[in-house]
Amino acid sequence: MSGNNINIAPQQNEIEVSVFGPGYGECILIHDGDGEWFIIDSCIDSKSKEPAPLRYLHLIGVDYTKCVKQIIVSHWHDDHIRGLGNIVERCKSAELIFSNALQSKEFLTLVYAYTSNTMMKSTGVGEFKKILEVLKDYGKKPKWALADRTLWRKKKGSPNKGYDCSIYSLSPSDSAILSTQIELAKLMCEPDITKPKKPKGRVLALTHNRASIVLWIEIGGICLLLGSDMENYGNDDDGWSSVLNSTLYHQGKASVFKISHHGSVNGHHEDVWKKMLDSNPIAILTPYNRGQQKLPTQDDVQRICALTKSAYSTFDFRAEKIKGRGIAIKKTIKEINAHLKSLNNSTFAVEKYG
Amino acid sequence: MSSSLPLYNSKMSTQVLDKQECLVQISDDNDAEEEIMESGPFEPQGNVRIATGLVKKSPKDDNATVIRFPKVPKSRSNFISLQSWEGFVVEKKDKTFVARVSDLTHDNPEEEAEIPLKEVSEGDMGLLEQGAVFYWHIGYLHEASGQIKRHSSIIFRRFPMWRKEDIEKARLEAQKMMELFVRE
Repeated sequence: MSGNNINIAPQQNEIEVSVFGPGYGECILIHDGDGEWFIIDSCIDSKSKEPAPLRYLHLIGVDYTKCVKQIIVSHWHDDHIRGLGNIVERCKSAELIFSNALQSKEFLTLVYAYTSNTMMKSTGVGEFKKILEVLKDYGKKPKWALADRTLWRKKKGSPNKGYDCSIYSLSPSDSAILSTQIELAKLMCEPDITKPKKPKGRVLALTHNRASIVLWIEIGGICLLLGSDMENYGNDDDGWSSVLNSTLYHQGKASVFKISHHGSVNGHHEDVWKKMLDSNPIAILTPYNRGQQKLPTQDDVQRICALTKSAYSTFDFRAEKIKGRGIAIKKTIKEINAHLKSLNNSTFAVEKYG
Repeated sequence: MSSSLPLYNSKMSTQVLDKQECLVQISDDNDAEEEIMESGPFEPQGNVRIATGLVKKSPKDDNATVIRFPKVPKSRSNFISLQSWEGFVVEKKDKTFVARVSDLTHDNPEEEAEIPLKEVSEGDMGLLEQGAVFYWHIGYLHEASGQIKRHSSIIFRRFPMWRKEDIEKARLEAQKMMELFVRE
């Protein structure tokens, strides 16, 4: 493995898993050992303002218009899709995969409703609208991921070149799809959406994390479990409990785990560590550094370090410097007792826990 | 000569210069007394007097044409912005609210702001809920008195309410997209 050096491309027959997470947003980029790449979610590189995976691929000289084979949108929340419209537009050879929970006219209606005539810098669903427009322009249809579906399967071309590679979605479950669509249908019921004193604003979230896609990837005998933002919901039909009942992952145990939901206790399930993962897997999380609930907490870090000696975070606490704030502005902010914090941190950073 | 006002006739010719000034012959009687309430920037020329405000008719001169036009109030204060953000509310707390803000003045990354509720005007307080969009400006307020003060203002956007037509239009777009998704 080339480790954390962003200027060195993986070799032929070298499997590479890159995780980007600047404190808001995450992206996973996988090289299958044979020149083919897979992008899961997206975030923006704070320096170049480009989607992080495309910046990395450009730096290592990969033609992403040809070599990216799939773009998987594990769920549509703002922190997982920034820059995705740009990626979909530029990676012309790639298949696009969404959670089946979003194959819903109500969801699309809400996206179009929230993005019309707002003149806002950010609507919360703008990126998704951009993806839809690109699909329309290219006449492309997405694929839909749900529990126990094979998304990609490829046998290696020759004995010494590349590896067998398979990608499976272990979620969302039927129950998760149904409850997501019921929630969306409720939002669209009149007169709620047109009731007085309900102006358009910025949408924060339309679906729960239960609609996320958990991925099981096998490349040359190595298994990876990518947990997206999956959580526990206290029943067997939903969340991690339904993933554990999947029929597709029983071939092995994962040695690499992208920890779900930023390492939170809601995203933790004891049986995932016992039944789906090797002992001491390489476990990576992307922190969430916004709002009042920052993840992971100290308790989360301790819990994770007790489960593996190889726990990593993508976060670099050195925030990007803010430009152009003269003394008058800083003084005014201080006088009114307001507080501001930059949210963009280095995209290409890793910190080891423990 | 352009004009947005009608020409006023009096005993001598008149010309209208612009909205603020009206070149009017008030009287051809040099002894008539006029009281000009407010005068324009030009010097009087002979029998012609220029008035930019109210002109009081001389009680001695019944032939004088009196033109009254509204006094344009001077601007009371002027705000020069140094820094602006567009933000949306993430959480409302007891004494503050938390928001995510985007810098509209410089190319800076997004920031998280925690702002005291007392910075929000009473009229806007009803709009302060999760997802609500606002603008935050910091700059200098030039008051009519000549004083200059640093000033911060938070203004919530008043979007139009949802209309049935908006939803219908969105439904049609969604229907077209669904047809693309299920197409063979």
